[in-house]
Amino acid sequence: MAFSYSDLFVIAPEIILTALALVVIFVELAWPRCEAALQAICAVGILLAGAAAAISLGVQTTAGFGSASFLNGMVAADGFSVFLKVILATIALLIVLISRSYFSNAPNQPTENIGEQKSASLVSRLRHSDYYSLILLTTVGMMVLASATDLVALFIGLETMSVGLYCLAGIRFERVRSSESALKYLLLGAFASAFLLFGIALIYGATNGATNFKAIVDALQGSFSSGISLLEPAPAMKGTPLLLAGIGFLLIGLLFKIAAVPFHFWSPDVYQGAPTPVTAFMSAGPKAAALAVFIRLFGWVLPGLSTVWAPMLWLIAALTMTVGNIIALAQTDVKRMLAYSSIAHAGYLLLAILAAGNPQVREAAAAGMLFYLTIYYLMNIGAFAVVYIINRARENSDYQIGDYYGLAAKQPWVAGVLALCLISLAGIPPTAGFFSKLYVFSAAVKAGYIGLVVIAVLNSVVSVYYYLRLVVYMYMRPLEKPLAARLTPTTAVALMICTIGILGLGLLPGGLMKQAQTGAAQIELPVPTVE
Amino acid sequence: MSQNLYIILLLPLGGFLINGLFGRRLGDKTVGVLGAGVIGAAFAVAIAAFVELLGMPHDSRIINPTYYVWLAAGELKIPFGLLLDPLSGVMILIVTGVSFLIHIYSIGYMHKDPGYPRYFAFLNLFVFFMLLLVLGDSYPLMFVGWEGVGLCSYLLIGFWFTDDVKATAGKKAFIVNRIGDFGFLIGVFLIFSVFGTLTFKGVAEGASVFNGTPALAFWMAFGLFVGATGKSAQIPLYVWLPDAMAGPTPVSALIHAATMVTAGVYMVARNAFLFALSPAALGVVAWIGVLTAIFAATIALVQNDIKKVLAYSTVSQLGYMFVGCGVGAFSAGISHLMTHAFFKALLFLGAGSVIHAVHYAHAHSGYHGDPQDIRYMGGLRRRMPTTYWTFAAACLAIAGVPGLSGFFSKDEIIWKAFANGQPVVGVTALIAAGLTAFYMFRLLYMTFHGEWRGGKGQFEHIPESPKVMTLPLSILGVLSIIGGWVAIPHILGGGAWFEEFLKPTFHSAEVLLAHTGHPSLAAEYSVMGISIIIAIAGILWARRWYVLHPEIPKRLAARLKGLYKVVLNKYYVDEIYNFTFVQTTLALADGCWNYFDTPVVDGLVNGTAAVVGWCGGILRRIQTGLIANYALVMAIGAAVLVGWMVWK
Repeated sequence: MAFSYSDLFVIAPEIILTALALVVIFVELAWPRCEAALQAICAVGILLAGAAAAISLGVQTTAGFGSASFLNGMVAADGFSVFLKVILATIALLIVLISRSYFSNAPNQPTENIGEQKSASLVSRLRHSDYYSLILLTTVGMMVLASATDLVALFIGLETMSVGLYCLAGIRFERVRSSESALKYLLLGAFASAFLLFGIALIYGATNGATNFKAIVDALQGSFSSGISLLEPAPAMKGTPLLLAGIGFLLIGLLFKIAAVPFHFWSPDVYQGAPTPVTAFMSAGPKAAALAVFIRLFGWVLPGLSTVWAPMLWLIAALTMTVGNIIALAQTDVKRMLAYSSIAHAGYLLLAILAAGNPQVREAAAAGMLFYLTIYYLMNIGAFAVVYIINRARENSDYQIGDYYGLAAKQPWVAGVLALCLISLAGIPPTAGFFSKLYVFSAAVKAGYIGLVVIAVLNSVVSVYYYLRLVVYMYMRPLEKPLAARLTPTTAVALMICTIGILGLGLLPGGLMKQAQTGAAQIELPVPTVE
Repeated sequence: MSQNLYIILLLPLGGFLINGLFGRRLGDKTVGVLGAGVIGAAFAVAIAAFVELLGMPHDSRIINPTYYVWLAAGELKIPFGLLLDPLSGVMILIVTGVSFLIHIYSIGYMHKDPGYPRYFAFLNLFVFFMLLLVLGDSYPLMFVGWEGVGLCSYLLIGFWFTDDVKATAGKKAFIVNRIGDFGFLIGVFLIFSVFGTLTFKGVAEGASVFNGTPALAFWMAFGLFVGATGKSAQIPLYVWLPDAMAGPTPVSALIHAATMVTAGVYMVARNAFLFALSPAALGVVAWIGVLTAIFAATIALVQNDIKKVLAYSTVSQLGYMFVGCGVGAFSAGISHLMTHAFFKALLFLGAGSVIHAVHYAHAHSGYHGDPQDIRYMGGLRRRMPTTYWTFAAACLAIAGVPGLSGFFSKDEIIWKAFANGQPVVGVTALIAAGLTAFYMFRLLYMTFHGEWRGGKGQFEHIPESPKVMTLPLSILGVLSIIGGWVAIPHILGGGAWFEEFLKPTFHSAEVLLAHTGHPSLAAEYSVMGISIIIAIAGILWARRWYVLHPEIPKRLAARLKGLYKVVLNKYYVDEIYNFTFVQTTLALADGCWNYFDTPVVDGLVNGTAAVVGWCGGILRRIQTGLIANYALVMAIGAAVLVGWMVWK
């Protein structure tokens, strides 16, 4: 197996973040109670990782690596994966920014039973670095997952990400809700991982021992010679039952990670129980990473079998958005409402996967998805950050909608940001949420899924009700309980980034879309160097 | 400079953001200085850009930086680019220059108004959108500016929104403009479907090799022109402008006289290459223009509200600009746009000064009358000399007295109507010019001459306005006099510099129209002579009726009671519109509401909502919180999925 040091460029962001996770732990050992410094180190490191991702692409193109494979074809270093790494780095950055003093104010929170004394002492032993290093390591997992071009890399990335998320969900283990959340996530997640791994095994068997995406493509084509893909004109393939079952199980694993119906049950409970900054992280990062590998697999490896998987995915997409939106209507808990809203958004995003099954529009679909994911994390993290601020100010253990009555009068800026995020989530122009839906939906229309787009648009209309309901409560209802929300400077910075992003990209979407199109046009499947 | 043209947009936008977000905390003084300051800076940038434009070779004066791909969806690509050519160069000077003066004036006029920061924020936002409209290098960008100025106009007409009448006037302006915008959009859609691009540059190139049917060319141009009639208050959509006078007077001066309402003229001129493809469409433009000019002038003859007279005068003068465009003399139309911006802004600001003073006198004498009714004014020149002299200069300019700005621009339009083969249009425009001179001097005499006809003991309380208001008046007064000198025609020894300067912009249109034959100099002199005689006659007539024999108009009004009443009530057009369009729409809406909406739509919506809510309740119950249940559903889902994949 050929290895050259230039291969390390490709995974430089992952290397930087992993090293950073260790640095964070050591810094706190040497210098306790220095959350600000930890945050600063994390922020700088994440920015470095993001820059490294961008530079690695530049180095690669200038040095003419082209479509050469790195690390034995395990991961791609194309524009698509770099775009995603930048998205994931930004998500991590925002989460680090909004997590300030998450533990320091802990005693204020009403702890629910189980020996307060004992749990308090446990909490005091928790370190900030535990939290921040977990965020960083989870991000590493997401990056590997997003750039995976081999089923083995896919599984490693997915598990690195998932284990980190299980820990993060339960990091406030003195609270029942947090522990319950972690346990549910772990058990169901293990279930899903088993499906996924089983699927990989079946595919391995069906393709004569291929795990590399390109090798799978070749095996499906029945030839190992030509480099031309099977894409245009896509011949309707007839896979063996073994292969199809493998793809089915793989699909289940991925659908679980993006919380698609009927594999979504974990998400409202886990989202609600997990600490709010972690919820924000979970709603944005894993979804982006899983969808990235999802679209690469189904748009670039398995489009020939789209006659088999597309109808199933059609049904799941329709179910996901409808169930997500309808249950969100009935929620009175804001955090839970946002959880269901994120299920609905996963449904819209599945449209991009479906559209990618059509070789003519797969690049437009991938570009639309990249655009959507960028906007999605901005508005979702913005919304969750405000929920977090309000919850802390209220010192409640739940997130009832009544807490938001009259918020605009007392906290005009915070309420304004939340309103903007909600309007964007509803997809109303001139916010960026409108364009994100527009691009994905128009790709789906081009791919011929007009019926499903109609369902998606109707769903968007339904969703306007519960998003705007909250806005109306904030602006039209009188304040019920006095409120003194404190905004830490770092949170303010994060909210500002979200606001500028949502408004700026809503008014001037062209630049990001161009980047997304460039990224999507560069999707590659590297070849393994050794057979 | 040329690449940094966007600075001119950022300045007013920054002023809007700062004043809008932090205005209350900054204090009125800072708000006023900041609001006017950013516009002053924008004016400086505009001058710099214009100078750079002048430094370029005559035929290639185009600066067209593209900053950004604004939107890209399929074959539709809309760049964010600005276009500075002689036409938009003149426009940005007018917009920023006049805005700057009006902002300064507003510092005094809006003093102590509780909505002071909001006022300046909106005014800055307006300038931003107006500059975007003028500088945008594509139809969508122009449309953003177009809608933006409409929005600001709506917000500022209804600035004192607690007053119901004013809020209604704002709504009326908004709704009438929507009708025009619909036409604009249709035009733009047609243009895109024909030329496949939406930048002015691309469409101009396409138009030069256009080989479609005349009908297609007509409908493209006509759609755009419908938009122009809405924004520029032409028949049949002029009805919103007189009502728009409900806004603060500086707003009337800036938005409803000098800049926004001229956007339609600018748009037609910008699309000269398109209108030139369809002589029929140009004919429509000229006829609508001249009919509006004379129609509005007759209404202005009898109005008693100082701002209403000026509003109808604006409608009438805008008609002249369209006549200029319609007869193919685009540069004459733009020249009149410029001089009109000076003298009409001055007239409105002067009227504002008068209203301000009369209002003050009312407040100090416990008398409560309408401070805008000229029947209860008179003799004000003795109390407000600066206002009087500047107002008089503007009246002379608009009446077309030789040597002043309005003379050169208006005369050029009338002459071009004759020269380009539209004699009937030309004669009508001449008559309207006489009426203009008459009603303007009626206004001047009734307001500033004679004896005070208002409440007793008030006259002594009337103050001259503060410096911050009279200074802009004086500057505009000078501009009203000399502003037209750039357009002195050849026959009077001038260089027609303005026309030469704009020539590259309208070159392709003029080639297409190709007005052959050179009319004689004698004809041009005689038209000019007639127009001078008519203007002087109008002024003298007004003097005879309102200074020497003020009883004549009253007697005449009594004798021709029926006609007088019809004209006074603006030919009942509002009532007719109300009866035909508004009432039928309301009746239709009412019918729909009672017989369709309530039982059918509401039933469906409420029913759907109930069903959806019920489903939500049920589905919510599936979320039991028990892992075993979740795992079971997952397993069933997995079985169905894999089973379907394998055995389909």
